[in-house]
Amino acid sequence: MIDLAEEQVDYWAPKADVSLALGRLALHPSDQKLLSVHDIYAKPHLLISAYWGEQRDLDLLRRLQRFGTLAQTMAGRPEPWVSGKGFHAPNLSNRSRSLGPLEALAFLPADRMPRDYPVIASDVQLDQVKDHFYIVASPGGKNARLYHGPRVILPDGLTEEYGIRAAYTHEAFAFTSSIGAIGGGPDDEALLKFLAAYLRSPVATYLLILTGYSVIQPQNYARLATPLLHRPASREVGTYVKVLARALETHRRHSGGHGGLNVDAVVDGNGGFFGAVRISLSGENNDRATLVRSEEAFHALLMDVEAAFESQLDRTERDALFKIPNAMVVAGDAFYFLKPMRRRFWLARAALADADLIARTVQAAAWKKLTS
Amino acid sequence: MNTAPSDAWFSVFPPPRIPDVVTYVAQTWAWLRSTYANAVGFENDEPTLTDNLCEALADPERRFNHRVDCDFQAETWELRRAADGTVSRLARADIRVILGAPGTPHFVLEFKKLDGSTSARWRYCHDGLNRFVEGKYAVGHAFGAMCGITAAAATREATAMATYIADPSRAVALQCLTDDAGALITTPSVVALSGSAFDTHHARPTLAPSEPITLLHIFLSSDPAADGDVDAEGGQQPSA
Repeated sequence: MIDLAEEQVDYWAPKADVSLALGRLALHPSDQKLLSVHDIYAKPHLLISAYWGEQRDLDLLRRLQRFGTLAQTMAGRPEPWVSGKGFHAPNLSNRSRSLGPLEALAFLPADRMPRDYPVIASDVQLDQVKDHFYIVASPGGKNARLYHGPRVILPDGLTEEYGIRAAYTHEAFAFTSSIGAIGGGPDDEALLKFLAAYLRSPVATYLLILTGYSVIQPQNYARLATPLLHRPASREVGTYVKVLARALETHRRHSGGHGGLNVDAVVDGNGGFFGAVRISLSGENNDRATLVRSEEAFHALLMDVEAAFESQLDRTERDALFKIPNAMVVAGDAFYFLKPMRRRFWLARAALADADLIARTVQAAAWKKLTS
Repeated sequence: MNTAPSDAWFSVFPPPRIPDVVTYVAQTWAWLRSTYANAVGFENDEPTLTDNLCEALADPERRFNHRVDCDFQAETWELRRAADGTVSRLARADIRVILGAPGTPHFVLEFKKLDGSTSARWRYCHDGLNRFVEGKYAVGHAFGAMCGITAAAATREATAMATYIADPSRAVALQCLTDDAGALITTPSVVALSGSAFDTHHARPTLAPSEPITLLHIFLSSDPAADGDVDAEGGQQPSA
């Protein structure tokens, strides 16, 4: 028997943005994760979560999961909620049936789902089901229960911004199987309204992207060029520097450390493909965060990095040849990041991940020294 | 290309020290016992107790308040792959203290329930402690911890366990080494005075690297009434 407790998976999730830009297979270090087999076995969605998510995202997911799930809430209500799809139109695979409970119901076609408004109220003007169908393949709606009472309805698919087009209603109407619904008892009307708002929120989009298997596939080649691929504005790089400095300060405070840090982002005017970040010990108690836009300063920083590469060349990993040369470099008393000038690498969330990486790298090295 | 940072960085982002981690575990256990007694009730099985403790240990606010800036992961089951490729799950109870991602240094705490019987002490030694000696845990690491969960007073169980481990034939079986004073049981603990009852040292001749390991022995009582002799700092030295 082999104990898999220590087995790990080196998970590479290269994104097309940088690969295309460089014209070769390229892997950004932030897209390289080390996952344990144990965790993947327990949480298969981890492969999706780690595709876009950083450690902070995985920690947040773990904490949120402790509060329970929608399925648990549905099952735990005094009158348990039900979910299901609408009725199936007649088809060749199923025996046709009479309308039955649908006979007297109004009908909401999928293309009448409100685009922006989160409620379907009593003023909605609808045809009757029997105006469109005289037979169906199945009544759906969990035996028509979901055509009455307080409920949230949501059509298949997402909005352009990966949002869920959920709407609350307690009006009586039926719908086809391209719409799903979650319904509860009259006492849960307020909670179901909240569910509609929650499903429409950026929080639900965030969770979908981190756990949904097919949410984030680009629909076509042209859509690869998302805003994340654009060059960051100077203001965004400035925000990155501030967030990085603040996150490092938080790590230092939480670990009881001391000593000032200088955080410098150096970009090569407006045309360079790469920018760089240097985090160094200031030798004082104060922190400093600056953004320098100068070709001269950028090349001076590159010289420092190059000197570090040369002095440590024998330690270069073979697989580094297949990565973008922007892995974090430690030289003397400074950490360096070389980053493509693409927004994805200069977001506030990238600054948090970079701060975590620096603090963890230092702490792991110190712990190893203490305990080995 | 990643290389090690210079020592000057260690004062900016110091890692939690093992004594801090051990104290944090003892204090979190005491908090659970006074706040959610059912979560640490002796009637729970080992994986449940470990899971409940780990959830409280992993709480970000508590970690930061105690300046313990590392992850706590409960390993309440393990995967084993057989020769035919099939994978099975086995129950177990340990917590890994991890700095950063998998693959970074970690510190393992193995949990065993102790009901005062000889068979429970045997399991503590031969189905727990021996995992560190045989290299199931902490290969390449110099420290690990055994945590005994008891319904009786922690000090009483610590004393009994120290006597049990020091039995000559058992000490040989567990590859025990003597400390600088020639003792098999180092009490009080040198590594974590305020949280560990005693330390033991074990050779690991079958491993590579074969450096010995020092184990901290921590005893946690699920009964606050029985645990009156744990001092305010969490100290729990066995009586002489």
